[in-house]
Amino acid sequence: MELTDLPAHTIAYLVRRREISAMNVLEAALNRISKVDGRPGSLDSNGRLPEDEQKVHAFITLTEEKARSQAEEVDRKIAQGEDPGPLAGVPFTVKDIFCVQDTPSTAGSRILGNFIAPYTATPVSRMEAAGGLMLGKVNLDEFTFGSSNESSAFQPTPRNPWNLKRAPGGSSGGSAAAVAAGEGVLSLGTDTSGSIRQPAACCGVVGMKPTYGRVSRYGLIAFGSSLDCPGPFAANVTDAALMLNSIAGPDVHDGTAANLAVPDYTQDLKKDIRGMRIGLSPDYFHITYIDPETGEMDQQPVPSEIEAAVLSTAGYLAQMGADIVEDIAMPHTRYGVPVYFVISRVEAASNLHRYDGVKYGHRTADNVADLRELYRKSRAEGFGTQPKLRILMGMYVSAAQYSEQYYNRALSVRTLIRKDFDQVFDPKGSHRLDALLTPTTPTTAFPLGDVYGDSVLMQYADQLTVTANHAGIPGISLPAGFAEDGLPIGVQLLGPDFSEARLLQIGRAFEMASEGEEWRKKRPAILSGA
Amino acid sequence: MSEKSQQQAITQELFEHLVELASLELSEEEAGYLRRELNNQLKAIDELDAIQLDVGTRVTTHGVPYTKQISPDARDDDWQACPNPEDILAQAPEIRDRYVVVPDIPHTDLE
Repeated sequence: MELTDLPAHTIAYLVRRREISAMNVLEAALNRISKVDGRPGSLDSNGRLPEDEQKVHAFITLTEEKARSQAEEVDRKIAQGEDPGPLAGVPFTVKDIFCVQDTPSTAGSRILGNFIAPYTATPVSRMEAAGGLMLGKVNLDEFTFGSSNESSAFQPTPRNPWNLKRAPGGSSGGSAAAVAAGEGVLSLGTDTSGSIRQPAACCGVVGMKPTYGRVSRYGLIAFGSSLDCPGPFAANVTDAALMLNSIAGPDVHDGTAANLAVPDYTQDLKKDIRGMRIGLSPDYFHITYIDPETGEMDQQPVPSEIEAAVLSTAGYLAQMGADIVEDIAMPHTRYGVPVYFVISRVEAASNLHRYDGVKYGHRTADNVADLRELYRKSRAEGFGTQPKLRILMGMYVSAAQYSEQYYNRALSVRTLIRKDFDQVFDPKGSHRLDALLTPTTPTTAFPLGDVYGDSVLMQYADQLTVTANHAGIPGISLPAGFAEDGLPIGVQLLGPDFSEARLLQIGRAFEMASEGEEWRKKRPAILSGA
Repeated sequence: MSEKSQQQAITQELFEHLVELASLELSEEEAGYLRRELNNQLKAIDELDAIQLDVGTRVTTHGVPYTKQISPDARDDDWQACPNPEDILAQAPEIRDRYVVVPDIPHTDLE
């Protein structure tokens, strides 16, 4: 047990009371990283070494010096009676998709392998201003394109701290793994189709995708601009609320950041949830996917252990006074992935066209005849397979002759997905739900190497999370026990626009109700002796 | 598989056109993988064809409606100096006299 195994809110409290110093906490975090993380991901990894299989590999870049000066500053403020901020002395990591000034900001891609950001993303600067200590940048799928982190150009990629042979999920896999292994107490991730919630579920931590626009995207290297949401990873709900307090809010640098006051998300955490209406939908208890060989649609229920975890969560919430409403129809859930295959690709192709080897990033060293060849060669060398796949699909489905059939149709089905939620959350409707409770993922963390390469199957890992991105609504994944294979199971709460406070309140109620459960005492195997 | 998806599968010729549009170059192996995955994804996308869309179903480009209430006012169009232009120039692979250097730009000479 080290200081970084304490909740963020406890660390901040102790630091502010001068019972521990920010520097003490930082040393504990660095100590934990040196014990469990192994070598960081890099472009020149020289293949896989046997010892890589024993470590987490959450990091790409450790910013120890920066964290030290931040810790000194927090300790100085406290010594001089100044307010060090609500995250005083809390070590955090940042998914390497956010720009942080004077720090390599790579998106897990060779094409940005040498890019040093000239400015800092708003959510990062807000965490720093709140007294947090930035430990460094953590690994991810290349440009966030994946659900396992295996596509990162920076190898070795993160492993699941609960079972090092398993993927941590993705794309914010480094974030989830770092929090699960107590390397950083909080992490800033992004969620475009489930990239916060899915790895949070796989690694047994809390991960929240806020409402689109709740957290500024300024400084976030863009993927799907109508879908991307920065959000918190934490070991518990209270810490996620504390972190959201820091990062949420309007931003003059992002015209899509909602102009809406930020409530204190920790305020209602202890309030009871009596009378809240929480729905269960059969449409979230199976996944529908295509067999690419036969072209036939196949439907499979989620594993019984995952279903049982959701029902057990519902049971706890009912004990706390919530009304559980069953049989909520969400008929367009199954279309979330095919719609995403279109919309996200169009947005990705558009966002990735800027990488051309001219103004920044990778430029081919080959002799080239002209500018077009420079573009082609730089992009061919700089992008991995997954970005190329998304760019090509985006080009195809948005081409003039196909866009009506594909892109406009997908945007129309997106309307239907949104309507499903509008209807069940409508305060004057027949269901009047406060939240929908679902599994976060259709499986627990899958073995590394099992799915990677099959881009269709990999995408279906997001079937239960991607609907919230299409609809823009907030969602949170909460740890809810373990499967027989020893891997964590996550459950998801989805709510109407800007209902983060309520989702956190329900999440906290579940934590309190299940506090005595044996599974809550479990720690990842890699921490035994750490 | 619907007939339509078979008809519209990305052919080698179309694929090469997309690669050109995307400013990419691919090895044979990479091209084989990418074309196969694209066609597999299209089969998944074709599921959307079966959905009955009412006439007038609007498109959604952002999930959360941008109401006037939550949309920020446009900020003033003021010129502000970049605080660190040297840091930005320093990112360019090749610079000469503060200009970014690129190879020949394909062009046609006017007569």
